[in-house]
Amino acid sequence: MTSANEEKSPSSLPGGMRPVSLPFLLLIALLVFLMAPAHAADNEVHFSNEFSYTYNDITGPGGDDSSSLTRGFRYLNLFGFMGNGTVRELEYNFNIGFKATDDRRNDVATFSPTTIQGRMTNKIHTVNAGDTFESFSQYSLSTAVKGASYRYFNEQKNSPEITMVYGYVLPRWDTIWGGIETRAIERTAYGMRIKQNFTPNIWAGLSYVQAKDRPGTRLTPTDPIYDSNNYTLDAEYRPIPGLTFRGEFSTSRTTMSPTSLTAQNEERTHGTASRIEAVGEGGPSRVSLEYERVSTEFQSILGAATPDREKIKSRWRYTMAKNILLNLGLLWFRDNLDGQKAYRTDSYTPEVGFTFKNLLGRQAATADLAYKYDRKFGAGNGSGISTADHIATLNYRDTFGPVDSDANVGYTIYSTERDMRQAKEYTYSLALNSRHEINEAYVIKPVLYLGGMTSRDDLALETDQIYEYSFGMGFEFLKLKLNSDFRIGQNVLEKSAAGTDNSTKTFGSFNIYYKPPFLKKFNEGMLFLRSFVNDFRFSTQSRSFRENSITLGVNLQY
Amino acid sequence: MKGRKMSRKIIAGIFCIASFFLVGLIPGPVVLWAASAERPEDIRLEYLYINKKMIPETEKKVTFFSELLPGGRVSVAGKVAGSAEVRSVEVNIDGRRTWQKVRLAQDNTFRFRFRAQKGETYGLLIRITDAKGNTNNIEGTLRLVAILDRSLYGAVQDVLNRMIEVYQRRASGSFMAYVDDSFAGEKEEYDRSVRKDMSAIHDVDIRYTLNSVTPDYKDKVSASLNFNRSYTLIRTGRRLNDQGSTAMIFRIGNGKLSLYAVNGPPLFGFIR
Repeated sequence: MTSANEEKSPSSLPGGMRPVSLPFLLLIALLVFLMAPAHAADNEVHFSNEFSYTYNDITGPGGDDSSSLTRGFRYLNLFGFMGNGTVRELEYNFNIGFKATDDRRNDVATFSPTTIQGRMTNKIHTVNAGDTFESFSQYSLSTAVKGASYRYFNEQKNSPEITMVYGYVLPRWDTIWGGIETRAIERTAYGMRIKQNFTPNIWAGLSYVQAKDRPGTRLTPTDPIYDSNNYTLDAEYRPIPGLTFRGEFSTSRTTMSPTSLTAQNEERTHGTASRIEAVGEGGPSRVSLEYERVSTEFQSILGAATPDREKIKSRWRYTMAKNILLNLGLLWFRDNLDGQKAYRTDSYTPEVGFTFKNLLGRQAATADLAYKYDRKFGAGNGSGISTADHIATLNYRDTFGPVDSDANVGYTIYSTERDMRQAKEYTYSLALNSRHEINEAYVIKPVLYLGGMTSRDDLALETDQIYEYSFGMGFEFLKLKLNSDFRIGQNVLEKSAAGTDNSTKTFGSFNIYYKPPFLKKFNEGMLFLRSFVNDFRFSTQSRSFRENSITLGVNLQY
Repeated sequence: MKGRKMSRKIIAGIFCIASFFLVGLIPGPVVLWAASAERPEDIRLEYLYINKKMIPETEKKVTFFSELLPGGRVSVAGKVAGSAEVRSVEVNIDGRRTWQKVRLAQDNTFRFRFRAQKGETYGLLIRITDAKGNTNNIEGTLRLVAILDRSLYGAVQDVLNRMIEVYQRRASGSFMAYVDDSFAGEKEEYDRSVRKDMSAIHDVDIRYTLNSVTPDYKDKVSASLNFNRSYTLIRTGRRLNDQGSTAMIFRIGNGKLSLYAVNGPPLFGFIR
């Protein structure tokens, strides 16, 4: 998302197009075009289009500030064009999607491509262009890019698997060609990976990735700009069936410029991250043990890692009896690895859980009972204050005659030392639903939901109460291919603290989905109507508002 | 400090117990392997891969999305255990009607591929015959290979809708069932963030538009989406709303999706 006081990109051209985008776009377009089925023998091509037109009405004094709807008539069109097939030895698939809307709550742009992707492979060489997702390893690359990748792997010869990827790490396609609403920091990603299967039970991979931000594309002067390189080695070994060892080691060299406001402001860091995991599966048990250490200065711009963390994690799942499963887990982690912080935080989270199936001889009954103790010493706020939370949950699912039930109960105690927080919380919910078929022509599906939460602050002596209840009914007219449902209900918040608002939301919704015969050739195209009313009432009446929304649409697929 | 020391002791104790169980697992398969090696008349598979995923004996059903099958085919690779001479390996996927002989390499490994149809489930059986004409326990090799009828795009929508539903109901346990054990950024930390939301906000309404769903053709899929979120902050009783774009990475395991990472503003666990 962008803001009004953006830093002007020095290389921006009128209209927002940047010169670097042109060859990139042409390359992507060429690659996707080459993957299109020119003389294909065995092809499937589909398109889908969903058009909807919505009228939103917002009334009441609080509507402008609080409603999440856009007033008036709004349209939304989602178009997709996809295909796959084989041309001689080449398998290909492509997928192109566009969105058009004038509802700024849905999208900041009126017209935008949502996906552009093409892939072609002959089982040895694989080329992907457009939306490209290559996941190398946790620390190196697990981010989708808008670019291209190439992979070489000859399974018959057990060759090394070589993958190369290049692209922009951008949230959307139209960021590339500019526009003030869709701007983002221009981050380029390069990556290469070589993986070798030494035996069916041992493999190792070597990855290099670079993430580089273009300084001129800062949205605000204080946006950090990164230039980061990661070198990663990961491997897996299965010494015997059921036992797996995995490991990963990565080193990063990062240059970070925190602001454009001062001239000399680059910070150079060099960090390492490593983790090793053992997973054992045998008979009724599955045990995993993991150790990880990520140094304070390690950066994983395109992967995932939490810097300044040492961690041990273990988990044991044990089938105690045919219908009883035990879950034991423990997580410990700490920060301040380099001793630079005033306080170190240690976090311990042991947990235990049981799953009971066929409880009390009931075939459909399943109960999950879990307890977690969340203990932190020096709770990470630099004050050395510790917290101790107890969390207990129970989930029970069962079928009583024609009624399926799902019940949840939770109890949490929050405790922060030096009387900073002492609180209790109770949550509860019950969902009942049923399905009744009449003469193989009609189906009725009633749904009932009851839920709530009570939160008690023992220091402030305040209580918050939440009640939620709703009733709904679904109808299916099988011969007409018409489905419909309605739901009505109320969510209530009652607070005891002075100067705060109680609120009640009364809501109702009504939907119809119809597949008329004249749309049958469009893969049973569908007409739909969706409508809802949300009426919010607050103690402070100037915050109250009401939303009415009705949407008509058509969905076609071919 | 005393509490910290005590907690460390508890942690160390639990870690030792867990290690014991892990080590305790090792002898089981080793003994089985050693026992089978002493009895060459036992003919069995050393390992079995389906679409490059190792399938243990305990896993009787594997599920795939048809759009992720290379060339629409399921590939099977395996190895016959031991060094005894093997006369043939045959594979069946049509309820024992037709057995297809597969080529056996010198190291007793074999490969087999078959075209799989969307919505079908295949019962894969492997018959190994040694030089004396003995065969393996064929039923023991049974693996059900199911090919899902739905698309990956639809599966991402389904899991997002279910996550939103249980999030709205404050069912934190049910919500975390959709989060992968190897969640990048720590599953327990994510659980803490989500529970914080559930304590702090009420009457959450989330609408989203799924923009792109991009698989890595191994075991993950990246989904990018725009969202529009409104909620009541319990502390003040005020109604707030926001919107944004984010990307969520899901791990694909046996036809099911579980959240593996979030690249961008969090859709859940966003209250600070």
